Amino acid sequence: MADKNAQDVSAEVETTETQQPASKQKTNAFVAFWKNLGGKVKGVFGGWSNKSPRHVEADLVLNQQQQLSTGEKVKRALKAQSGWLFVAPALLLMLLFTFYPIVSAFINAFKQDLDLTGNYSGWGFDNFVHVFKGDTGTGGATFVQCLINTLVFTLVSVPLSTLIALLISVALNSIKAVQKAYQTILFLPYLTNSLAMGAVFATFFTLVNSGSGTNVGLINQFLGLFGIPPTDWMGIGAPVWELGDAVKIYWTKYLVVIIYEIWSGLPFKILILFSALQSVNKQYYDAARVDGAKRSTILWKITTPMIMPQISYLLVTGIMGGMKQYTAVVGLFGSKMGLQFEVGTMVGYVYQYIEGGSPKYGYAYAASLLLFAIIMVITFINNKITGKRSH
Amino acid sequence: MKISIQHLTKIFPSRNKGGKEVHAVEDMNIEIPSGKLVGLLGPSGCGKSTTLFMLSGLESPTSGKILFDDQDVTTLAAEKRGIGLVFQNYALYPHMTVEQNIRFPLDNMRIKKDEGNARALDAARLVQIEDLMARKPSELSGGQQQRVAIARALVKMPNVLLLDEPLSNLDARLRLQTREEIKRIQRETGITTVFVTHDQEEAMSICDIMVVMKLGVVQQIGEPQSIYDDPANLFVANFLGTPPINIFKGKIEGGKVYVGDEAISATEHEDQEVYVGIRPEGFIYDPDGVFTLDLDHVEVMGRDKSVVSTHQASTKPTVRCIIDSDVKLPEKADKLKFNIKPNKLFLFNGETEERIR
Amino acid sequence: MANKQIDDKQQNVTNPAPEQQPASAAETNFAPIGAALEEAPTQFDVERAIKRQKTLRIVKDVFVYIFLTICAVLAFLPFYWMVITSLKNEWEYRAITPTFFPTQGVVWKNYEIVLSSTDNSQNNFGQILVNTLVVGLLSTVIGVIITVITAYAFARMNFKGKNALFALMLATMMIPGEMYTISNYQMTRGWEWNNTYIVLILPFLVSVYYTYLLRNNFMQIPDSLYQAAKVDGLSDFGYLVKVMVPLTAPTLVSITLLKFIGTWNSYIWPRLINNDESWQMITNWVTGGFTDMNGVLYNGDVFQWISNTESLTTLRMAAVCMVSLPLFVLFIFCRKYIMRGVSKSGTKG
Repeated sequence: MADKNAQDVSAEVETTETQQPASKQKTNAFVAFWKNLGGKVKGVFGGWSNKSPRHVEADLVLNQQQQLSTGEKVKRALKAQSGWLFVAPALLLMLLFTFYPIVSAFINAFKQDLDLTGNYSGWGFDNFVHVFKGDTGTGGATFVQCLINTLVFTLVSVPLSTLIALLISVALNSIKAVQKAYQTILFLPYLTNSLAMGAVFATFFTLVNSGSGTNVGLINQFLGLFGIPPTDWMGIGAPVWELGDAVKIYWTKYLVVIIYEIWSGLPFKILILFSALQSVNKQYYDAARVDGAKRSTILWKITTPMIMPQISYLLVTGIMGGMKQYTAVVGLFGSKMGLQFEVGTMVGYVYQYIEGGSPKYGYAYAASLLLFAIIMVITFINNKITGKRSH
Repeated sequence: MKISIQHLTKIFPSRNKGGKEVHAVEDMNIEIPSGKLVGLLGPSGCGKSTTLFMLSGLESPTSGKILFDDQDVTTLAAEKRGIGLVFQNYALYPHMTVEQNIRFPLDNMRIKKDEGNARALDAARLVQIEDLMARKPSELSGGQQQRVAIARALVKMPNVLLLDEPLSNLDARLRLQTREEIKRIQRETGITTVFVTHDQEEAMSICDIMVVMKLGVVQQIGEPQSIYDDPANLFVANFLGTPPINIFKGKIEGGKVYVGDEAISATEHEDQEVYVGIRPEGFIYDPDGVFTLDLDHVEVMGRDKSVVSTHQASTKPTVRCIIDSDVKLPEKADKLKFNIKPNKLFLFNGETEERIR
Repeated sequence: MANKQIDDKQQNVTNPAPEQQPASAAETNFAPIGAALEEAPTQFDVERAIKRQKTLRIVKDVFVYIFLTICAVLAFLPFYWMVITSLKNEWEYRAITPTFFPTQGVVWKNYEIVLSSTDNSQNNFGQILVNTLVVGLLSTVIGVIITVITAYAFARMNFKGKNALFALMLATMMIPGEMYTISNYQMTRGWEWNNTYIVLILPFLVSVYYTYLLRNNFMQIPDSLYQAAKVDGLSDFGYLVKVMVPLTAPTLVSITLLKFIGTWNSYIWPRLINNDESWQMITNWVTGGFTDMNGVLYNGDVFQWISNTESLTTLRMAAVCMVSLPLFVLFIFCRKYIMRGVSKSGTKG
């Protein structure tokens, strides 16, 4: 019996080493995805050559050598291409709803006064000029305002929630009792409807008339315990500071959005980081302890570097996703994203042009191209940073 | 640093409910004098690694005590024990360079940069890796990684150096080289060193003191040669020596040791069933010898010959005798006769398998 | 002994320990215990260290559990608040001092009003639920089937232009969906597809990312299995259905769940294209007015300050609960699959 256990133990020790690369690969599958993506895209632009045509040719040569009948040859050739049959449904759908729209977006962005039926008055950069010059749109915000809003929300909430998620994951990883229970509760907010939960969060911050006074909301109540006077978090208020005419910063509303984003972003990040932590070989912690490292040293010098691929993955995808955020703000502030679109996001800016009584499709296309360009710039910066680190 | 292990016991609770708990180490008592190289030897699953991890403080004992220089450190945390530990897989931090790896314990001791650099370099020189300081562990061979691990363990000048199967991940050639290296380093530093191995040859060749374990229980403690020459029980006799000892079922009758029908040796012990162990080198070819074996074949090994034969009373399929290559054996023979060197013959109780002395 | 050369060297640099002597190996007192860590290397009180480390461990454990408990409470609080608010009457919800339990009676009627289409013609829940289930089931089932056969073709079959096509598909992931949403909107409006189910299903059937995931999963299945199946006379399609699908079942379940959740949470597209609210989805429903139009709840004197056209938070929270509850149940029953799917795919649902 002692034999059995110790064998198990030694087997574990042995397998941990051999398995480690494999498990690392597994956890890094999605990290690899991004690299892979880069390679594939390069493949597209770098020429259409690939292996399979050569295979097919070889097949045909072989067939000729065997002197098969023409009918048989055709049959074989067709069979070699039967993969197209399998991808046909997906391909047709994508042609219709993805590839064609992308191409048409690039074209339509340059059509003036485009209407629903496709009529337009001429070609030019008018749409872009409008968007850039600070067209207030149908809702009342400028593109620059929406860009700044989106950047602030994203660049504050993503790193912050990643850091908090890291701390929670490390804490979670260090306990044994009721670990599963904590993990489940902490993962709960993942499966939510961000619009619905946004409405719930809004109630935390909203001031309402109680008939006999003002209900200041949970957050103000809580802050009141520390003698902090109530704030109208969700109200229109005055901007704290302005960056020219176009951009205003409403810090209380920003705070509400950022808090909600952190809350809703945590579960996913905890899940990723926690499973990354669990795949780290425990021997490194043992080694660090023997080397006299303190807990904080282990966290920053051992643990964090070990799961750096996952951390940077979360940062990259978090920022990319953050640039496209929309429903969270709608959930909190309604579909007008505030009273006058003052906390509007870029996606919100795009959509406002298709909705309502007088849609301006050209502006929407132009704004969406700008969104695409901004995301490409961010991707580029991300690649630069992560590329540098790996060298 | 003198180490004293007293009644050390480690019981692992069973993994599944209702299963049996596992006694990895049971009532272990060892005194390790300062500055010695001690080998914990046993088949896998004998609790030797568990013992090592309890010494390091990474595993806490179920009961018993561990004393370092008469100070009870049983519950002292690993980071406070001032030990160096070399893991079986080395556990080098993959994101740090060799230098950073070696420096890591010093950084934790808040040693100043210059001094730390000097000490790291010293440690690297000791294991001859000073040229590899800028590399990452992934760029090193197994043997080099091993050296880095040793340097990292040594750099803080530990009270005790613990090595967990330090050679098991190396290829055969490196293994020989490295085990001499470990011996040299241990001599040069004089650090009390405990290492774990399942390879008896490895243990015999470098240990000052050897501890043979089986199923969590210490079987015998002593110098390698004395354990080989004077095994405490059948397990120890069987575990040490290549080729392994030959074991026969036999009996003592009227002051004589019988294997089969032949009386092969005299004894003073009383009549009983016994196991008779004879080391391969304990056979002397003699046409008039007392012990007859059925010859199978002879393997020529240069320095000596290995006679492979069978015997109905043997507990193993073949009986192996090592004899000098000068000894001439008959060209064609079905049977060979031998005399037995008395100091190479051991008797073990037929039931308890304990040595009959 | 061949004496401790480096040891001495190192001592010179670092260790002031005075009693260091070139003793015989057997007695070498290398350094007192814990010398490495304590400032005064000669004296190290083991007992004190053990005591301190015990206290530290307890403090650390307490700290960790408090931290995790606070986080867990904060993670859970919105759900709790949502549920209790949906069961309060509006007056209690608006009271200056908030209550953490419906003290003035549990108002199930909130749900009744929210659910009854006659009281709230704008928010026709029954119709909305049917829409969501029909669209959710159809797009999940068809979507997963398409994902499977496409992934199979890319993983196992050879055809001209395969890699180029795959790369092209992946490349579309770099492009924000908003860009083709506008075109899709214009195009489908042009076909007068607005206010139909098909417009909610068709554009989202193909998921490039899930295809990519599943393809990778398929590719991990060893070739030898395929060859064995061929020897056994299985066709490509038979191999897919009988071997690959069962082997990748966990991933498929995860994809199915995540795809359904995605449909459940879809908001912008239904709102844009199906401007008739009776063709919208459940998430759109949450943004409805939720007023006590017919004065069922708040017509008495006490509540006169609540007008019949006012959007009521308690009603909205009831609606929010209705939308969140199925996800909750799904989570409880499929936690393993969802968590594995998420950690494997690294995507938000």
